[in-house]
Amino acid sequence: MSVPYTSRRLVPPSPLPTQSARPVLGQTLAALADGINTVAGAYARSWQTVHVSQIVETAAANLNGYVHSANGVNQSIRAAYLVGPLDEALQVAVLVSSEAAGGTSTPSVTVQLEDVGGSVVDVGIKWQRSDGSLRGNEEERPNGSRRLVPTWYYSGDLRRPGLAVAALPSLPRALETVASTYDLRGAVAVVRASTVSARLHAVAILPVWGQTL
Amino acid sequence: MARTIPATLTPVDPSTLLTGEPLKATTVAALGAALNWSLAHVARAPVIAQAWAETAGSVPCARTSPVPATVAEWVIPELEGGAVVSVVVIARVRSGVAGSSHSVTVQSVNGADSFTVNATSGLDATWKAYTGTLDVAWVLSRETIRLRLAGAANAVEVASLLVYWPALASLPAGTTADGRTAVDDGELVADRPLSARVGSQLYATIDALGALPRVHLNVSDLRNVELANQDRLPPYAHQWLSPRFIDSADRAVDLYALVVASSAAAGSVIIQHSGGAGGFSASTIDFGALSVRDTKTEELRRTDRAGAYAQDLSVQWQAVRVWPQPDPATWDTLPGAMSTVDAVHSLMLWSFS
Repeated sequence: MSVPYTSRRLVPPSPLPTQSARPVLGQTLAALADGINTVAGAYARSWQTVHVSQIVETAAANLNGYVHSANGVNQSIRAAYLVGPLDEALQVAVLVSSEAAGGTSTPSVTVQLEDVGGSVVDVGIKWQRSDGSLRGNEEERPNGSRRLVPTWYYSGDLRRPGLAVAALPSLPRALETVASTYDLRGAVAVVRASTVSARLHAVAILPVWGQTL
Repeated sequence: MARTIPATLTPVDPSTLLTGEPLKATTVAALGAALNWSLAHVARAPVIAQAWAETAGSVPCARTSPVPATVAEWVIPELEGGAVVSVVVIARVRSGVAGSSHSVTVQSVNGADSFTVNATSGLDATWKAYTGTLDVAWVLSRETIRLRLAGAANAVEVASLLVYWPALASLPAGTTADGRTAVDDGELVADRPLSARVGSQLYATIDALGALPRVHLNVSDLRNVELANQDRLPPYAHQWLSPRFIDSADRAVDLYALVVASSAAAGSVIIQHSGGAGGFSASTIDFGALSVRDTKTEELRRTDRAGAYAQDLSVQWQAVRVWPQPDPATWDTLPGAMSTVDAVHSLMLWSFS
């Protein structure tokens, strides 16, 4: 059964309709059902922001209040993630510092979803400077050099389940938790990110809530 | 009386319960089943989620000394009735094999419990996820979780730690202090009256489930690790995103923050909070002179601005930003909203759903 649940906020209902000597109305029962559906649909979910710790630089030249360099910095991140029992797809946002131009390699960030055993469930999505999805953010310094400003990039909530089992990562989209023979709903997954000439500072993951249960 | 938790959620169509519709046992009983499922699953949520970036084959959360030491520490807020958390740690030894001194231990301070990964657990040079549980207990509504490492010439490394409330395997009898009550099997069927008591319990439970504590962010610095000077957030603008539910529009406080900082001179941590794309509001947390890992809390009050990024159900991203200051001698320009304490060690953000 597919039941729409409303985008109305969860209003704490009045207990008055359930007091003794009042008739039990269909409206009361329907409101209870609506409340239970909203609680399940909105809150029986999982989300988290994973802080990705970077090494604290100690060289004075690098202590200017910004990320000092990302060129040539290739990183790998494994973050355990709790998938909600109703979460069929996940939105991802990554906080990244990378150069807007130049450098020895083209910056990119790839995020894929694995189970805890390391099997790939969703082959992933890729932000890259070459297609404009990872534009980089730099500020000019008075001495003419540049410094990096961490910037958020979003996957959005558009679902393309077929791309989860493609050969290569796709443009940003929601990640699928049910793909091929895998079903990560209610399980712990591993969000695996890899970067080229980019530093990853945080990964925020939200479910794609959808409109029905 | 048993309180069964259904394996899956079967949502109840409200239109089947409206006046004029026949009250079928299957429909009314489904209310109780859906509520019990929600009771088991809504509280299931992470309280610690942190990762350490691997660069050139190593992560900063690494220890070579064979003497066990605490490398990171987090505070988690109380969940009414919560007594056990689940733990997932992704770890390895940097190369070679794990020896007798290698260990990764996650420890609850108040609950006096620990979960250890070592060679016996299968620790080796491959990144693997290890799962366990910890008993927790509450002192002033808080519990402290520690990560302790012991290494050798080949360092032990941790790439990620996840600590979360597990789904409930059984539902407690009676009503919890925050108003949640499970439905007994057979309590809601069509040939039994929907009593005032049951109706009130359903309402109170729905209300309580919408106001459970949720940890949005939990960050710890590192001490006693392979590299020195990791005991603070690096001096750049850190940001974190989390959902802002439309319910929060009714509340004066969006998030609560717990900050641990040190400072030789009096200073402040500035937490910028965005309900919207129009900019950030700032909360200033003052720390006195000679502060050493002092802990302070702050309410991050909501703004009237729209969310930064609209989502289904009107759930919006909200952002929190902390910008630790570098050595003032290295500034070439003074960025705005920069904290002035010497070191920001950790930050925890939570809300009530």
